[in-house]
Amino acid sequence: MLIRLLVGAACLLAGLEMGALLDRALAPGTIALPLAGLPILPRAAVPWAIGAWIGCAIAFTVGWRRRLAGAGLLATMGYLLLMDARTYSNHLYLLCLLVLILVWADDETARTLLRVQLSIVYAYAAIGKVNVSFLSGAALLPYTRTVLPESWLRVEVLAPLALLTLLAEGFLAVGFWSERLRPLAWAVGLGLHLGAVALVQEGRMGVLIFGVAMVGLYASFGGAFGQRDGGAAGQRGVG
Amino acid sequence: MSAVSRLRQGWLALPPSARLYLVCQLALPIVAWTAGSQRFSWAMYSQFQPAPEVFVQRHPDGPFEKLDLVRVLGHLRGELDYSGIFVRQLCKQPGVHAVRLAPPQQSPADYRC
Repeated sequence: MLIRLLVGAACLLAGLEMGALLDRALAPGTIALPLAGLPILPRAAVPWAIGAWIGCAIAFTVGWRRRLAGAGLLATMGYLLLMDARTYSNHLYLLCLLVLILVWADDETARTLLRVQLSIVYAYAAIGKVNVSFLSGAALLPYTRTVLPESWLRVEVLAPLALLTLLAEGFLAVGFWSERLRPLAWAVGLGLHLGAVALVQEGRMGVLIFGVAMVGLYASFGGAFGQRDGGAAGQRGVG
Repeated sequence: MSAVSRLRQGWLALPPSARLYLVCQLALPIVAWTAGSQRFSWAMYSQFQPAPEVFVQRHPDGPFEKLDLVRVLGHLRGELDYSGIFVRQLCKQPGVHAVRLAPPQQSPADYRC
């Protein structure tokens, strides 16, 4: 229930983000960057597409005709994900996967898949950051220059921040699987995503959507304290 | 029970479609990275920080118009860093005659399609 609420909320936010994005992406004179050969949505159809997205997201979140609403949501999100390079985003891709799992799999399978999905996301995110560009802190510069004081924008500050991010993601990939480490994993995960939302200015909505979706995945492991193997929330079923 | 046994038990408890899903999820990033590394080798890589402004010319003697990329963060920033890929992608669009990338504090580079 909690998982679906959080994933549904993330889809709702993504729908609002996509509405604003399409308004600019489909403005007259702009150049389309088709991604998978799908026809570009006419501008007049945008309110209908976003309306369907938001409507399905609300129905999915509250559990009204959950599978049908989820299938509609997946179709709308999937189309816009693949329509244009400018409407594709990694967090939208992740949301499509999460909705697919929640619509298609039974409760027990969905819980397992969501848990493994969490580990896959963080493990690959951490591995992808093992490079000089990221570890030097240079990759963080465009995101932090407007929120951190000028004197902090140095390699001595940004490089440890980059390393800390990598270590946190590496820990989160495995930490949730241990009952002993789970409370710490919750704390690190919430800190990481709240920190990212606070630090990033350009694309903050995307970071927020990603964070909400990931906390939805945390919920597949149950609460932070004293709940065994999925806990009370998990036992009620994920969808 | 050891971690390996638990892992094996969990794997066997999954329906085949769920196992296929997980295999795809594990394999896809590796495939994408492999493709990415090939791109890396033949693209003109430059660390634009922040991303360059992009202009397109629709006629040989026409002006360069600034392109609204909408979302330069993330994958499009990556595409711009691999500017060769991005230019090629833009050149495929009908009515694009030339592309100009203007990185901050650097001379703009023009690419004729």
